[in-house]
Amino acid sequence: MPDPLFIIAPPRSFTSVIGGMIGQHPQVYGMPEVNLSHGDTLGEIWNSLTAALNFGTAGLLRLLAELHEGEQSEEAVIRARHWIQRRLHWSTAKVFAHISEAAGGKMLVDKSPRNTMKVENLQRLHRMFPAASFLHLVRHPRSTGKSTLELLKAYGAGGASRRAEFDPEQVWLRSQSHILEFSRELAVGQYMRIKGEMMLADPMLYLPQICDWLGLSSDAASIEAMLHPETSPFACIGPPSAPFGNDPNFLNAPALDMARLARITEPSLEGDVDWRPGEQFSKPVMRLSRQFGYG
Amino acid sequence: MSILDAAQFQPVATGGLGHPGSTLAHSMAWFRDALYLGTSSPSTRGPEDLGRIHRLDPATGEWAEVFAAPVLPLDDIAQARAAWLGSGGGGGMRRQHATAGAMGEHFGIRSMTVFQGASDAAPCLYAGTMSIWGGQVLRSEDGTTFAPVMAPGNGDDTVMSFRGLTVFGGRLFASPAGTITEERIDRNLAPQAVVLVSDDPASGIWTEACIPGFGDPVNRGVFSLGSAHGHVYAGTGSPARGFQLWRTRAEGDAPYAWERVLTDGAFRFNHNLSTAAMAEFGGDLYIGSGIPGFGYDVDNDVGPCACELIRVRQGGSWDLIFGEPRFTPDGLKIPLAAMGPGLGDPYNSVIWSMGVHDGVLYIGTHNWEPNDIAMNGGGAPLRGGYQLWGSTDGEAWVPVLIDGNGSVTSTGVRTLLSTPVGFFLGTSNHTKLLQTQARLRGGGEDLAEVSAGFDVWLA
Repeated sequence: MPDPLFIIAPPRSFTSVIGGMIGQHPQVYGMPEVNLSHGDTLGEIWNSLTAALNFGTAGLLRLLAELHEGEQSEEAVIRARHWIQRRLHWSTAKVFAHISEAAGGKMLVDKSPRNTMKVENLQRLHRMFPAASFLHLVRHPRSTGKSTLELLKAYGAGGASRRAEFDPEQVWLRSQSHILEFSRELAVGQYMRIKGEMMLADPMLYLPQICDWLGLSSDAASIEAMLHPETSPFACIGPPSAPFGNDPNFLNAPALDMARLARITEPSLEGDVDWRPGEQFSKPVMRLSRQFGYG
Repeated sequence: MSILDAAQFQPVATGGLGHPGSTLAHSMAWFRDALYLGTSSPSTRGPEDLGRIHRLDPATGEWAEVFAAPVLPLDDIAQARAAWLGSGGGGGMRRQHATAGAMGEHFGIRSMTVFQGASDAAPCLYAGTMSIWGGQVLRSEDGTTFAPVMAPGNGDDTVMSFRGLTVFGGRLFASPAGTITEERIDRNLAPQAVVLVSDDPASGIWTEACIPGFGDPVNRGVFSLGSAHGHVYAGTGSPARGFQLWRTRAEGDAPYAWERVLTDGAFRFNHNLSTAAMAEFGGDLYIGSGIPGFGYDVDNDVGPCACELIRVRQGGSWDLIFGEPRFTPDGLKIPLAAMGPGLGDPYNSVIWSMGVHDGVLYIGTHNWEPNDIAMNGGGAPLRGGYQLWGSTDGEAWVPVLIDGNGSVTSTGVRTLLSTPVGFFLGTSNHTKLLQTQARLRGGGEDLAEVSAGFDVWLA
C-alpha cells in the first residue's frame, strides 16, 4: 500500500477544503475524519470518541459504509457500526490496512483533527507509517480563532464552547507546538508546511507542487480533478446517525468558490484579540505566527 | 579541479599572532603580492584588544603588523559604549560594568578589499572598521600607512562598523553594520539599512546607493554585499519577515534602481532572518543565510535554526541548495544537495564565509555545538567546531574540515581567500568564552591548555 499523507493542523485551518482537493487526485483516496491516531486498537479509539453529533465517529462510519457497500445510507452506516464493534480488538494499523485495501491501494489522505491533539498521536501515525508524508497547514491565528468560535456558536459541539476559559488561541498554539515538536523527528522532505491562505489564493500554482512532492501525477486532468472536492462521496451531509465527519460548512458547500478564495486575506497580528478585547496575542503565538510567515 | 583535503591545510598563524584577545581573523585581501589580514577583538576589554592589520610575506612566511588602532582615552560617553563590548554574541547582551580607561579607536577590521578610486594613482587597500566612536573606511596606498576616508560612521557616530566592501563598475560599495550607543549595542543592525557607494573614496564623499531599507521598513539592516553576473547584490535582515535580496546594475547616479530578487527569507520567513556570505561561482550567485550567534535572535525571539544555501541565477530564478524543502510562489524547492538546514547539522547557524579556489566553491560555517555543550553538557568534554565544505558544481558538497580542524574552540570560518600562493582560511576562536561557559556549569578542564586567538591556515 502506498504511504499515506497526513494533513496536520489545528482545527479550522482549511484542512477540509485543501484535504478535499488533494483527496480528489485520481491516485489518492481522500478520507473523512477517521480519528485513528489516539489509540493502538480500534476499541481504545472507539470507546474514547465523543458521541455528540457523532463528530468523532461519523467519519469512520461513513468511510466504512462507502468502502463496504458503495453507499452511505443509514442502514449501511448501522452495519459499519456493527463491523467496528466486532473488531474492537483490531490494531489501528490493521484497520488502516483494511481501509487501504478496500480503497484499491490508492494513497490515503487523512486530516483528522485528533491527530494533532497530542504529540503521541502524531508519533503513533509515524510508527505505523514510517515513510508517510506530513503536510502542515497553517492559518492565521486570528482567523482560525474567529472561525472556531463561529463554528461552536453554530453547532455547539462538545462542552468547549460552554467553558468560560475556552480560548481558541490556546488551541491553535497547543496544536502548532505539537506539530513542530513532532516534525523534528522526521526526515528532510517528509514534512512540509504551507500557509493555507497562500495556497487557496492560487491553487493552480500550489497543487502541482504538492503533487510533485508526493510523487503524484501533476498533469492537467489530475489538477482539474483536484479543483472539484465536491465530487467526493464524503463531501455532503451524511445519514442521520453519521451526518458529518468533516467541517459542516464544507459539507454544506463543498464546491470551490474561486472568487471567494481569491478574496482570502491575512489579518494583522497586531491589535486586540477579537475574542479578548484589550489583549494582544501572546508572545508564543506571535513568535510562531512570524515563523509561519504572518505579520 | 579537485577539492582540497584536510591534510593540505597548514597553519600560518596561531593564537591571534600573539594577541589572545584577537579572536577573529575577520577579513583578508591580496595586495602588492602579500596577504593582508584584518583582525578584530569583538569582546575588547582594554587597550590591548585592538583592531589590527597584519601582512604575511609569502616568500618568507613572516608576519608584520602594519596597522594597530591608536589607543584613545575613554570619556564618559565612550565608557558607556565600551561597557557593551565585553559580552560577545549578538543582541540582547549583558552589559559589562567595568571598562578600561582607554581602548583602540577601532576594535576590529570587518572587511577589506583592493580598489582604485578616481583619484587613486594605483590600486589601494581599503578596510572597514569597527569602533565605539563610529566605524570608518580606511585607505592605504602602500600597505603600511592607513588613513580614514570617511567621517566616523559617515556622519553618524552610532554606526558601529562598515562591512561588505565590494568593488563593482569602478565604484566601491559598503554597508553600515551595527549600532552602538550609551544605551545599547546591536552588532548587526545599523541605524539605517542602506548601502553606501563612492567612486572616489579618497575624497571622503560617500552617497547612498539605495533608499533606506530599499523602501520596505521590514528591512532592518544590510547584512551582506556581493557582485555577480553584472549586478551588485545586497542582502538584508528582518526579524519579522526574513531577508530580502536586492540587486542593481548601478547605472547612472546613485541612488540606483534596485530590483528585488528574493523576499520573505526565500519563503522560509524569519528562520532565514538574514543573508550572510555571498560568492559568484559558475556564473551564479550563492547566498548563505542564518541567524547570527547561536542561530537564535534573543532580542526578537527568532529561532533557533540552522543556515541555508541558495543559488540565484542571472535571470532571477533560484535554487535551494541545502535547507528546508518548501512550497513557494516560485515553485517547489527541494534541496539539490539532499541535505537539510546547516548541511544536516543543526549547530551550523550561519554560513560565515565563501571562497572560490581552483574551480571549487568553499563555504565555512559558524558552529555553536561547543557552546551548547559548555552551557548544557553538564561538564562533558566539548565537541564540534567550524566546518569547511567544498563543491565542484555547487550542488554536491563534501566536508573538507570538521570539528574546528582539531580545535574545539574554533567555532567559525570567518574568512576565506583565494590567492596566487594558495587558499587562506581565517578562524574565529572562542577559548575564553567557552572556558567561562564551561567553568560555570562544572566543566572546562579540557580547555585549560588551549590557546586563545584566531588561527590562519593555508592550503
